[in-house]
Amino acid sequence: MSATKSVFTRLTGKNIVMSYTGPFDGQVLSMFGKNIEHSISADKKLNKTIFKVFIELAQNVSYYSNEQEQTKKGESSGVGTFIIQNNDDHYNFILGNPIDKKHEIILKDKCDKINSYDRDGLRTFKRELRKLPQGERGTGNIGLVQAALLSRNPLNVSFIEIEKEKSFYIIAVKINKEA
Amino acid sequence: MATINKKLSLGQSLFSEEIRISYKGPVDGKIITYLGDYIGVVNTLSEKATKKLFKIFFELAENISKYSSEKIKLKNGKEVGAGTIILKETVKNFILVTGNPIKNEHLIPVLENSKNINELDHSELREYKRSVRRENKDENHSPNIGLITVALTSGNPLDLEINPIDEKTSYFSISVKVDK
Amino acid sequence: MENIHIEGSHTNFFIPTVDFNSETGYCLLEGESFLEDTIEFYDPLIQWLEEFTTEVKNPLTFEIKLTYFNTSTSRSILDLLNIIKDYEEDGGEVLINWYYDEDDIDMEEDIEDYMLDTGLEIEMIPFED
Repeated sequence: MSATKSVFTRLTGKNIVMSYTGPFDGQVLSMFGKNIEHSISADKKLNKTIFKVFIELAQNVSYYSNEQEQTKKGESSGVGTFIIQNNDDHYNFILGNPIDKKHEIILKDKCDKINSYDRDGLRTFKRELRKLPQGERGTGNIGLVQAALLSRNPLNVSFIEIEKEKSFYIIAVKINKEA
Repeated sequence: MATINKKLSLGQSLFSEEIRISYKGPVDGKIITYLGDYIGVVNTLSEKATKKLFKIFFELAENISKYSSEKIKLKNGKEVGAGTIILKETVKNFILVTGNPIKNEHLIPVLENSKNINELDHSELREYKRSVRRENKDENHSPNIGLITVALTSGNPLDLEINPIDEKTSYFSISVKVDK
Repeated sequence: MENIHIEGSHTNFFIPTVDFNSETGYCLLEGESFLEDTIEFYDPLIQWLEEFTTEVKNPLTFEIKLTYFNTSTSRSILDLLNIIKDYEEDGGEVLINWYYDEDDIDMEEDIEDYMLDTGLEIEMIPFED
């Protein structure tokens, strides 16, 4: 447990408009989703984009975080952190969770591939992923593609070593204020 | 103000202790319910300690919601205060930390009050709570009564930190320990 | 054949409003779609549409007024549209109206991409928020 929750130290920083560390179950996603959609900024369109990025990426935490915690219903749910920063000309959506170190390369390759596409390329890639049969689709993949499409900026991925076999995976997505 | 000088650096403490849950943002009823539910399933707490933590949590969360000077408008048009809530676990206890910007005019009575609070024993605290309640008949909740309740419940001194933001506002944080 | 009516809600997860009417052939999918189990929710809708297009075979008007759906839902929408495409190719009479916020460029792109994927003609109807 302590791994996830000691990595992010700047939870209270001035430009942070919202942050959360804990289990990412469905209740968390819909509750924070709603607050993001309605209270981050005065720009409704911008809020909606941040909300959509949040849903796509946060779902991955509940599936893929290698730290799990029991929730009220007795189900287990992945643990992670998200932070929304308000900067001069953009918002930063940052999401992190611990992963098995061996998954670092896979994640990095995925993001490099996504970043190498232009918008049309990304749209085509998303359609290809969507056409794959259920199960083979790789829920995480299409979510990352969608986040890149929504943000119109490259995905920023980094890893912090926690232990020998464990890393903290951080993905940051920039959302410009001026479309 | 010994307790205030005993500074609690939020940034550093996040590293050394285990954060069970943390939140920063608007503190509305849904968030309070959710975080409250979370406290209810923390399995390393005795039943008595869970109850204590609940009580303290609701007082402090309500204080953020009402007295934070950072107001955020939610979907239903209601404005709620924004702030930070962190629940940490150490070997012996749970520590609940909350923080929010506050108007200095709200802060002064809190400070005077908290100085008193930390100097009083349990029965004196109870008497003090009754007297504050008598004086504030018109309000069913004030930050002061909230803090006295917190001190009574916790059984430990309140740890406060205040950092000025500008002439009119300060960042106020409070850390409360509950023994497991 | 029974009609399907699901009242949308916004409490835990986002459940869209569904109105599938076998007598009138009018089907509506409205609201926001972000579900705990997307397949479990959409499977009955897919089965309903298959039955309608293979047994009832009346003219079909399919209207989508979703203001938000996640990518998991987007796959199920593709499944629904593919059934409609098959029906059209079999000679079924089909009209698809998709209402979207005129400011929502992402949604506009999504609808265009669905047309590319399915070969269906989708009536894109922008509205003001």
